[in-house]
Amino acid sequence: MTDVAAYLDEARKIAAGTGAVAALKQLEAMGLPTNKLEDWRYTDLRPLRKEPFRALADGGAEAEIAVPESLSSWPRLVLLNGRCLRDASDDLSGTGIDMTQTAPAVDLASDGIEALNFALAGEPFQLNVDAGAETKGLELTLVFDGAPDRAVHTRILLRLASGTSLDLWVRVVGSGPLGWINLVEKIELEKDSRLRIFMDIDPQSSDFVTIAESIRLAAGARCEHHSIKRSAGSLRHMIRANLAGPRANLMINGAALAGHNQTLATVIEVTHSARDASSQQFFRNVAAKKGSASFQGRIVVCEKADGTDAHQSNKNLLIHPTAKANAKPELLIDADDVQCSHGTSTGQLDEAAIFYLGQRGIPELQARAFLTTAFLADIFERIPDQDFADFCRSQSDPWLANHQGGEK
Amino acid sequence: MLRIENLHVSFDGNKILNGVDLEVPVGKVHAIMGPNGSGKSTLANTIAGHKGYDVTSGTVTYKDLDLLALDPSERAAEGVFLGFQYPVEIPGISNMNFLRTALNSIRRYRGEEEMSAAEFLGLLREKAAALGISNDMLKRAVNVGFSGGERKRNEMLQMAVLDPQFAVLDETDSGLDIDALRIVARGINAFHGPEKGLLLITHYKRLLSYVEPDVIHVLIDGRIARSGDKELAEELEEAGYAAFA
Ligand SMILES: Nc1ncnc2c1ncn2[C@@H]1O[C@H](COP(=O)(O)OP(=O)(O)OP(=O)(O)O)[C@@H](O)[C@H]1O
Ligand SMILES: [Mg+2]
Repeated sequence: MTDVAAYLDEARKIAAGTGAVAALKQLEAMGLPTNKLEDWRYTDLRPLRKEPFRALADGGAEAEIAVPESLSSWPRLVLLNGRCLRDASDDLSGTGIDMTQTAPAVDLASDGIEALNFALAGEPFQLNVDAGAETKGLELTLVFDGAPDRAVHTRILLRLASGTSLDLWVRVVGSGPLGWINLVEKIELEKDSRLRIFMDIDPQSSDFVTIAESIRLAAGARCEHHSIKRSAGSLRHMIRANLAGPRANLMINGAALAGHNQTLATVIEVTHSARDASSQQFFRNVAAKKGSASFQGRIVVCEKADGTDAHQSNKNLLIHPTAKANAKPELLIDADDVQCSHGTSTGQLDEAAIFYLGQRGIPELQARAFLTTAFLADIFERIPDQDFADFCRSQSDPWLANHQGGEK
Repeated sequence: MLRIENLHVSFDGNKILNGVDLEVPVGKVHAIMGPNGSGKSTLANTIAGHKGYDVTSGTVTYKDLDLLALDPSERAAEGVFLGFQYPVEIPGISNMNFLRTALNSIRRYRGEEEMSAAEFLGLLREKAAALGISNDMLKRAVNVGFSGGERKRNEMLQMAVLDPQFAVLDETDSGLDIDALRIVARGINAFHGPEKGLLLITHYKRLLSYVEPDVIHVLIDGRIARSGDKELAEELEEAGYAAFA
């Protein structure tokens, strides 16, 4: 049983402002999640049962942080443990993107971990694209560094005004040991706006990583969410999207790599609450020795959401006999005129194909890596940003080289 | 070039080859015929090093190498090629990428430099054209959605590009229409030469009228029941296998 009291005690001392105090009340009422909650069923929550992670004091490891190189061709903001590193960041004037930090409003958390984030993240980091702004792209590099017994709670808000568009790279990078990365991202897409997210999650040595994204799409808004993630000790990535306006369109396209002894949980909930909207989800997991990857994908079609077109596909590849995968697709449909489909499969590499490649001269380990890369290929092919697609490909190869045959 | 002595092979605990003796000298073409299930593909897969086939006794020597001690990829790099009876589909890997990776793996094994993309493309185009393989087929995933005949032609393309020294072709002629058979036979003849060795597994004397074998062996119940010259194919056609059992 998770001890919420220790977290509450500490949070009461730090939490400031009405939003934070309201979040504490929610945390007290909800407690921290357990595996009994359906959406937390496959998340490894053991890190929460250890000595509580204490919030990292302001500033954290700022001194000798190694800022990863920029990957995109866009201007970049670098945040260390949720605080902007001015020296490493570009000036956003002229980009059409506004950046502010203000006291958080009262918001309803979906679970205790999100509530803890609301209580402790301080002022959320807000990005705004106002109507009429001519924007292209932005790289948001979130670097985390601290100590193995510490937690960082970071909260980001993004709003795209009606008719605007943005390409956003989001990188969640562990630079040094940090016990818990707790990131909450809330995205508002107003009418006819268009957002493409290219997300790289590479927390390195963290024990526990929880990422919760929520995306609300107004009428005609479009969102593409492309991601590659490497696991941490226990990593959970949740995306909740609400297609709230008619004709909205959402695509979620991701690859996830669960390393040795690590657990990686992807939880997606796509709600169609307006008519004639469409959504597509494509998800591939690869799990290595004693690694575990799960995919929970829920599609909810509300009563008035006629004309919904929703599709979901999940495939899992186990590259070691001790690797595990869980898949739980779920369709909840309350409208009549809908097109919904989902498919999931879990398997191992095709030994006949490995022999075939071997007979043509490709050594076994290389053949296994080649086939695993091929398993991810259509995810990467769907990525419209060539830089990001190339980056993903360049990441999967060394990962596979390190996770072949079960040796670390 | 290839010498097989007293080879016994089991699959899943079932004895399939029961003492095969066979020698293919360099520059020669040997053919193996035999009823379904007699062990022809088992022999081919054992030569190529398929893990599922358990060699319980016997030896396979290739150019002074103990072939059975090598991994499949090492055998390939040493110049042994198997044209598969049932070529495997490999989703997500294009034919072109597959062949280039294979060729460069072999070159690396031999301590040679990798072939540049441009040089490879030139080679591939030339060999593909000779086999009537379209550009589109080169770009498609290996064998995915290929017809039976296209797969067999694709095997020939792989042989042409990798240029092995010893090829075992397991029913490469099955499922081909008359024109495709002619193309494939031309491919085999173009490959063959005084430095090469060939073992053709086939059910039909049709292929053997295009590619003339020096010796024909009849494999029955995991043993070579008879060997002879190309007249043997005629005899088989008339009498069937029962006469040899
Ligand atoms: N991969 C395999 N799985 C199951 N059984 C096998 C396998 N390989 C061989 N066998 C068994 O071994 C025996 C010989 O099979 P093999 O494929 O060598 O015959 P073949 O002579 O090539 O036949 P065909 O003319 O039909 O191709 C058969 O009884 C077959 O069922
Ligand atoms: Mg056969």
